[in-house]
Amino acid sequence: VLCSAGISCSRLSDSDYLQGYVDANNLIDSYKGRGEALEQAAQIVTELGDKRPDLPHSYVARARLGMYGIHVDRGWFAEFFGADDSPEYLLKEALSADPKFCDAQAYLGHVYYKQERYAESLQALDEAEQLSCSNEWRSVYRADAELIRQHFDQADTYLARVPAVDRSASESERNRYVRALGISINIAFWRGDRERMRQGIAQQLALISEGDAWGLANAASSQVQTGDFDDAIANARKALDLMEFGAAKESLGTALFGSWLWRNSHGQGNLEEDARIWSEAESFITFKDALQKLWISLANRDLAYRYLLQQRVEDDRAQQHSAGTGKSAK
Amino acid sequence: MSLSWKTAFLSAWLVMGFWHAQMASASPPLAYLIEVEQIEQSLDSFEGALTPQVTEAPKRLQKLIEREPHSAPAYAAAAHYLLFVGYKDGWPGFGTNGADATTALLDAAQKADPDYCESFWLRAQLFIALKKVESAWQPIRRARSLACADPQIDVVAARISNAQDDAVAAERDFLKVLDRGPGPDSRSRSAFSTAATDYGSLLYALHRFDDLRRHIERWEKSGQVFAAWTNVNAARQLLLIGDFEHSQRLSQTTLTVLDLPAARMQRGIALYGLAWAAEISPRNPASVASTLSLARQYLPDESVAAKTLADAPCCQAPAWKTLLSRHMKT
Repeated sequence: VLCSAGISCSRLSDSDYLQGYVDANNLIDSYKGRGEALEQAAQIVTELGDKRPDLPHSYVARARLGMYGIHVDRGWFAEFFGADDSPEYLLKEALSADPKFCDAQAYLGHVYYKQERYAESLQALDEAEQLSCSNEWRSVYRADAELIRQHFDQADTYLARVPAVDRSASESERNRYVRALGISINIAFWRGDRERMRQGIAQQLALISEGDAWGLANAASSQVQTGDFDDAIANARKALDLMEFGAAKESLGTALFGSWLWRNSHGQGNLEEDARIWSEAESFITFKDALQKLWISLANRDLAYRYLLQQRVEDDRAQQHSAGTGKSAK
Repeated sequence: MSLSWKTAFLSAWLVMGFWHAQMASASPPLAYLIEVEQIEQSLDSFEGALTPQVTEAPKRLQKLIEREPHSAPAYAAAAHYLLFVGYKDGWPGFGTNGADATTALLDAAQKADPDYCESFWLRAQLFIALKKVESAWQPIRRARSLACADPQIDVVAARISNAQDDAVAAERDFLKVLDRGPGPDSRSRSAFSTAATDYGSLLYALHRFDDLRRHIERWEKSGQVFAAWTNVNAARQLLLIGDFEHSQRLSQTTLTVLDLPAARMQRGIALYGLAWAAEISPRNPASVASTLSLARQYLPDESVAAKTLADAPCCQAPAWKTLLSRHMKT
């Protein structure tokens, strides 16, 4: 890729090397569930590593690719590769080449966070704070780590350092800000602040690229949390039009159940329409599996919604019980 | 301290964490602090379900105590565990019963860090449990002089006032917590639900039933559906004052979250109450029959319901007395 872009294939200058690193990161940041961007990034990264093994950047990019690779193949960090290819190993290699390489330190903090090694994560992110660095992913990662500890104010402080951008910004910058908004929406959820959540979701939707199925599905998932089920349905459908994937199906099914509950608990039910909604919802997710999200949704603060949800839970249990009894009777 | 003892007190007590706690002058390692913090979060959220996080807490805390014997947080968390989860055998090396072990653990926490906030309200709570109510003020005063931000301090202060029959002071401190709202973190939510429980009990004891209804409605709107024991207590108060429909729905909320025997029984009593109220002022006989049938699923022995209601403010009219005596077994 670098050669075809006119960069010398024999030896890379520092500036070409760094440009390659930026390009690879942009490609990785642009990953939205389809493999082409990662494949292209992988080619660049391999070339960077081959031509300048003395520099640490390719290790960081490989670690990032590894994180996505695991996501695609086996679920996020469910398991690690062999030790030599693990993101942790690669990032430590990068740091052994340059202990002051901020990107490596910040990503290492994120890797630890994903592995639920929170103390190590905070230590790595603290060290990243000490380094001269323009990479504000470190603030996003730090906000993640603060959120998991319920240090909401601190998380807000780190999020405030992430530069707000508009659609004219690069995809990488937008992705970073969209991610920061996601954390901010999560904090607002725990604070029960529906309006702040809605503002955050609107900002996210304004920033995501056309064709960003993941972005739409994330918005749909947040809208289930706010209890804006119809908006969630619309966004999940758009996401599924772009790409078929489990998270969008789950959000669509859950939002359909939520919409059914809301309509019927507020005198807006319609027998035929309701039967269609329920049946469509069940084609994506079972009511039992959707229950947790329907229950923690801020819609549940509405008593009519909650009472109907409870009734459905009871009916569901009774049905399962009678089905069980039927089986044993046979 | 047995588990059943704990269950009885859960309605009145709730858990705390340590995230506002002040550190000893020599801060313990981050990994230690984070692990204690995570255990505290599980204790804050404890509602009677023995999750792996709760059952493994003593073992993990013991290791933390051994690893950092000069740090306060793990000692305080262990005392927290004893007070709110229960441990009839005490704590290895600190006492063979709950009260002795809790005292010794709090002494150890205080020795490690005389200003450690969590230990103050835990000690005050211990004094209340031991019926040494006057002594409970001292740690609360100390915590307030240190401007500890832990919201449980106001809750325990209100409890002390309540135990000393100072309803005005108790109400003031309960409302201080309730007016702040539930907050996003487990400690604030725990303090909020504890205050809601105890304030409801205070209003019931004062026979301020309209205020009680308003308080419970406000509680429900706060959306703290996972605070099962607060719901159990509110449902009980509602059924005793004759709000059977509201009570049975609240018990249903609890049962959606956690299958607590107390909630099942109370839902049964509330359903009997609903059916019997319809007998006294006949409505739809079919509805009476189906309500009774549902009531029996939750509480087969109707005499338990009749005995509960016989002493309650709801049911002192002659028609109720006659009906209830008919349903009581001799």
